[in-house]
Amino acid sequence: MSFDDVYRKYYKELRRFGRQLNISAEKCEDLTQETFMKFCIGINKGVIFNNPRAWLYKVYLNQFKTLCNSREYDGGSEGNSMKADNHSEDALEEYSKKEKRRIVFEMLDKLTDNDKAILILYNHGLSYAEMAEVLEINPNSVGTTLVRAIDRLKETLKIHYHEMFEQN
Amino acid sequence: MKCLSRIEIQEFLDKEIEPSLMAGISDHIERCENCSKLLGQAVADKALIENVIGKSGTMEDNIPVPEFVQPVLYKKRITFYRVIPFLVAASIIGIIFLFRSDKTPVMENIPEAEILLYEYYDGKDLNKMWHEKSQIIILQDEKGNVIQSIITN
Repeated sequence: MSFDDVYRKYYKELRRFGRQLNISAEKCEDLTQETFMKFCIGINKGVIFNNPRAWLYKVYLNQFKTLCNSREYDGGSEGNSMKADNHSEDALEEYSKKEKRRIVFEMLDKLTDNDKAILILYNHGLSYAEMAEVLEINPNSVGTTLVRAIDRLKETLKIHYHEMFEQN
Repeated sequence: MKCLSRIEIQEFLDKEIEPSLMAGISDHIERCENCSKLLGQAVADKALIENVIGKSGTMEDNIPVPEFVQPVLYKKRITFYRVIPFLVAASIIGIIFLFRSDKTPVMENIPEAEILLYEYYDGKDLNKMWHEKSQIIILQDEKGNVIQSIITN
């Protein structure tokens, strides 16, 4: 698969991953570009990527961890930036969606980084082997880690946000 | 067949179990009420994840994929901070050379004839050929004191 194919195929997916990790749109764009930049440099150097998807996620996640440890990271933007612009009905609906999203991010933030990452990766449809590669854990323990993360997510939901999701 | 654990059920749901075992597990789940319940729970959990996490990234779906700008091979900018370690290392080496203790030449192992020769020519470098051809005659008294030294061509 050529670089362009990989770029077109996974760009949106990576961006989505970043946004789900609660990175601001701007930073998310930067991280995505940087990840593909590294991938491109790797290809130019003749590195063979057996699983480019897992590699991209892994690099992205590592960059995210570095960003979290850096001083410039403000802990995400969703919670602060989502405000309704006006009070029309459409805006109200939009506001409701945004509010729900804000709560989702707030809830995800209550989970550990690893739990959050494995749940998002699972949601993105990565195989257990790919998740193991991205999270740098034993492939045999992915099932256990995933089940525990699901339990913690449910527990968080039960305690804080049950009303928000019970009708779904 | 034994009942499955939650983890095994999850793996079964995600098709992460060996294909040869899938049919057997599927049969067991159909017959076992407990495992069937666990599978139902796992399916509900998956839907919950989709509902909670899946929708949180949908705002990115409408954003177009921008053109990728190929990286230019860049040269690292040499800033003052990068040079500091080298400057420090160079200064340390310089100080060591300036204040090194072995400045005075060691005289012990040099034969007396050589010393005399050195003194005679006021410390100047000798022509190697001349040095090999020349002979030194040293006259000493009974106590070993040098009375006279003669250098011949």
